[in-house]
Amino acid sequence: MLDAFRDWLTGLDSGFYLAIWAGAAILTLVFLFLGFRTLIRARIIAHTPTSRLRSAAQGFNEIEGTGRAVDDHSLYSPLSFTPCLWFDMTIERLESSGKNRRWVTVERRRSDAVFRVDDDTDEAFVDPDHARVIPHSRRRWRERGVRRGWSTGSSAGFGGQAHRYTEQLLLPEQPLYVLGWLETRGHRNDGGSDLDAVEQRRLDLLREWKTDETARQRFDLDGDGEISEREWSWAMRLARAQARRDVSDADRERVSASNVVHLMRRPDNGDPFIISGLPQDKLVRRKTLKAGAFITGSLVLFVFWLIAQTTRSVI
Amino acid sequence: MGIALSIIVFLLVLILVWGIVIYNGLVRLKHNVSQAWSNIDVLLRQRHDELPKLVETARQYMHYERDTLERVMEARAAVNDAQQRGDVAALGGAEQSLRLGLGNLFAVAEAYPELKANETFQHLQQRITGLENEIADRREFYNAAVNTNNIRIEQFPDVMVAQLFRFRAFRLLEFDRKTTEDVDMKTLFG
Repeated sequence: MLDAFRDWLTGLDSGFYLAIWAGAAILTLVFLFLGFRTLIRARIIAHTPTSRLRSAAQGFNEIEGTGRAVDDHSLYSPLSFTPCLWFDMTIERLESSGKNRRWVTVERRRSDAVFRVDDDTDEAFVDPDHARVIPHSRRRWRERGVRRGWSTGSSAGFGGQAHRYTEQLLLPEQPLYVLGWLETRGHRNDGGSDLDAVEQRRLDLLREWKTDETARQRFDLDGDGEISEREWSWAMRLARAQARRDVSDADRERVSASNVVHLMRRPDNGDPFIISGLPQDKLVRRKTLKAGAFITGSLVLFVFWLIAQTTRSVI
Repeated sequence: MGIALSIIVFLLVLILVWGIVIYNGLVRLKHNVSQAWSNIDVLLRQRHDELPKLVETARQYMHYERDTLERVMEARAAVNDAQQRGDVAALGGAEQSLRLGLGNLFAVAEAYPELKANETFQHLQQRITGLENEIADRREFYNAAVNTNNIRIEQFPDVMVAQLFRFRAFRLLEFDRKTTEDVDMKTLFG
């Protein structure tokens, strides 16, 4: 098999042979670079501890929560009109000339609208500009002609040129992972913030529950008549969750007028900015496999280049 | 150079680059831990500054609770001492004592309606409770950073680079078990 490959290389035209030789060398380096870059990113994701928004320090942070639209006004994807937080859409047209057929991009649009991530302790705005986004959903389909009402203005309906539509979406109310730079504007615990309102409501709830025998029985999970440390911790968590819900329902204006605003954006120091619909462990596994594939690819290309180099002398 | 030799050289280059990736990753982990520690440090300082105001306000009303107030101030001094020395183990114990002291102070304050109605006290109570929550979160964050670092430097292949360049394990910030056992839940929740 190796001999057949060598014979094929020997029979190639000099120009074509040189192109293959140079292409293999360049691709080896590119695959190597991509492989290690992906591996570094996988390690950064795996090694960065997850912060809670209410106590996150300023700087590079990893947040896990639920994606939400700003002010509950969802964005709609331009192709399928699905409510979403972010979209990336591509329309391609099939061009034929003789035997050659290729897809030409007619239009590509990517949303840059800000959305929110809520991790149950607080929420942050996410500016997706320059982010590497791993979507919740990705669809690709073909149609003849361009959809009616679309801006490109080609003829609609069957009989037109074949078009390929690709749509990637981040969906609202779905788990969201964000790795990026966190900035907080305003001051925390400065009277009047939503955190104060939630904290006050939490203390009130705990005070109410203390005097309510039914509530005490509810938290006495093992029924021994006493509230253990674990049961107390559970009551505190429940009180915080209920307080957040009560405050956001009853005092929405006050919350939206909060003087604390968190923003997640692209880091300026070259660290990655990733917004993912996939959970962290799957993301790490995916990136590690991708890195492995790139590095293996570079090794295969290197062997190919080496055989080409030893078969015919280029320089 | 033969094909076999070239492949070996290529593999050696791969291993070298991989070693650099591992080394840089371990440096990043070390800095994550120091940064997580600094993040706790900032909040401890803020609370250190707020506590005397709270105790001073409470002292004006709670004339018969000198022990409770003094216990808070002693615990505050112990936290500050451990913090200055960077002694993670001592800080865990002192921090738990301070939490208990504050828990007692807020529980006892319930018996002083005038103090409870005092706006300064209310504000300081909220502020300190908020700081307590943030410190608890950041302690978890610090422990997560330490845990990742400690696992990494023992796992293959990172262990080889870690031992070569003497990366060390860090200590978790844990609350003193003995102190935790003394917590009387009835006083907190009854």
